Amino acid sequence: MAVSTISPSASPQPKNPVQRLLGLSWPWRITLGYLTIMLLLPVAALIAKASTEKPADFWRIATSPVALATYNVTFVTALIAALINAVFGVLISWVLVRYDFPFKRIIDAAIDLPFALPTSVAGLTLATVYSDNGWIGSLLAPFGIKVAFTRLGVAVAMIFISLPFVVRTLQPVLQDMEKEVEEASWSLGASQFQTFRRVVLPPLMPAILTGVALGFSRAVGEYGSVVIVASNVPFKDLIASVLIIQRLEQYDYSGATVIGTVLLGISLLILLAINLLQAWGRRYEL
Amino acid sequence: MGLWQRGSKRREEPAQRVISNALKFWTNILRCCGPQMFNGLKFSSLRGFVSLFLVGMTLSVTIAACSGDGGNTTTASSPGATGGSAAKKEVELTLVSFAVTKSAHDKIIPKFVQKWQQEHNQTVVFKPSYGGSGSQTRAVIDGLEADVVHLALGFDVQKIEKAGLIEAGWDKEAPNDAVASRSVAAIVTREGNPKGIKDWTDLGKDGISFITADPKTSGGARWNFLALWNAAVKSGADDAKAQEFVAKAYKNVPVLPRDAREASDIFFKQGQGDALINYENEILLAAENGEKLPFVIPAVNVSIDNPVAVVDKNVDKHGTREVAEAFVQYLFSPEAQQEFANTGFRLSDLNGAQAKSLESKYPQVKDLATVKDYGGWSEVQKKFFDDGAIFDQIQGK
Repeated sequence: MAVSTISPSASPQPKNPVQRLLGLSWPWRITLGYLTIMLLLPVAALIAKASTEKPADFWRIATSPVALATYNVTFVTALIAALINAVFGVLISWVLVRYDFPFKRIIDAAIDLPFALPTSVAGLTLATVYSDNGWIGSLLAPFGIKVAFTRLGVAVAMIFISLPFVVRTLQPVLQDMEKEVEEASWSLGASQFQTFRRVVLPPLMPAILTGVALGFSRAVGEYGSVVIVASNVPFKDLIASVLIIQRLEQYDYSGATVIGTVLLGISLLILLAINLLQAWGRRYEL
Repeated sequence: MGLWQRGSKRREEPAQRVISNALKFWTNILRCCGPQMFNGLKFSSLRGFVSLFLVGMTLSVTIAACSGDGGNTTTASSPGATGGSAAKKEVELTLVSFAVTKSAHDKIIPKFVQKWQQEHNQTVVFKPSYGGSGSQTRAVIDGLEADVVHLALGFDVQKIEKAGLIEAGWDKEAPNDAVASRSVAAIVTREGNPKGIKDWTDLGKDGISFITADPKTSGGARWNFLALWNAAVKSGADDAKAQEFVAKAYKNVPVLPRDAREASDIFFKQGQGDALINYENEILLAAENGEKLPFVIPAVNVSIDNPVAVVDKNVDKHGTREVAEAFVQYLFSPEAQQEFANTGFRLSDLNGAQAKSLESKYPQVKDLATVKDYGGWSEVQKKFFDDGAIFDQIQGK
């Protein structure tokens, strides 16, 4: 019963998979069980429901013009939002780690607000601030820039809800970095920019990419805030999550899960690509 | 049963490290703030872990049981326990309704409870649930055990019927086709009506923008679409002409909010659009909350009917049929109807004496179409709102 091995590979390979499962140690069993219940089964249920559609229908729903337009809006906007957050996230975490200033604690805590705020509240707030008579929207209106109820508004909502990820993944890494390394680089004649590009950035890259990946996947799945701040007009700024709700509202469960499955698939591919980038970024690590 | 650490080989694999750290973390937490009972726990055995896990489960179940019941301390009778309702001192009734009816039901429910108490010497404990009509319908189909449903459109009740929870003929079990509350579509304009919008046809003109909820996410917004369509048909247009008009009108819609409440918000608070199509009850409610703007109720209009039904399968399971049916009947009583009227709804019986007395608040609409004129909800849904149907066509490029 009690087996002291931890990884399945370390144990002598039993013949059949059942024995192998029984031969697992408890941490493995718990991990597998938990992941199965919390992650694998729901995803399997989603795919099972989507596969009740005939393959031809599946393809027709997944590639209908409206659906294609929503993928474009969803993924491109989410990616742009994640990249903008990468740049500003690095800046914010740098300031929070390297500088001391009054109210630093409060600002540091405020970074997590987008996580704590119910997304519909976030959407309502953004719509109010960025609409033509809101605080920021009224400043932009004379220049003919509309934010709320356009695709720009979708981007703002996605940036808002994925803001904490890069900051939070980067902070611990920055805290572990010694300033002496930069000083050494300067003393060897490197310019500020060279130091940043060659010395500071490489070790931060994996953390930044992790933050971008997390923020991106969060933005892809976002519904509550975007549905309020967007005009939800197809081909303009309708996102995939809203399309899924529209299908549910017509009691078209399988159609909704088809779109959901496509979202899941594309997200997985993009996350995989980001992971590969991360692996490539690790070349710098010694 | 040595489990995690045999003490001999301390090969700290990642998984093991994570788990042992997590355990340390939790033991520390429990040491600091846990009650005395946890102090001896060291997780040296699975039993310790499992017992803690069970304690946690028990606690959460207890908390859930305490909080889930609005402070009333009855133990729920096991499902399937049927019995004459007179045998029990208390009976639970789950009412599932759409969001805007909350203020009316909040007034009606206590009155009904009092009445039932007097007549049957039994306490009715209501469990009301409010939300968007479509999502409430889905919840009932997916297993929310409603005894009575009151929904924004017949199509939603028909869906529950199709799922086998409500028996056919539900619309004959209560007066006036089981429509407990009604409303009509109205057009709200800006102060002073600068664009001179008086009728449906004005909404299709160039240079006008108006707000209406998305018929795809809001069941109720299908009424608005129907109102526009009906206006075109009544002016003598055939289907092609009507589709042209509706397409032109929806070109003037800059934002398609999720539901009626959000449409009000976008029009009133964010200042979008020259006009807003919404239900009369929603507008009267907004007026009570200080959002006073001029509105017109076009003479050519659709009757927005909110049906009510007993969910047969659930009442038979709970043994609550008698009280559920009594509650549905009570919704048509003059005092309940008055509460609906007070919260912005029109009466179930449009031509009765009670409706006449409310004429100043709810003027009669000259030409009122019903969904039956267009073949009932399933027909309307197929023709206008299904995939690739007319609404999709006018939204396409």
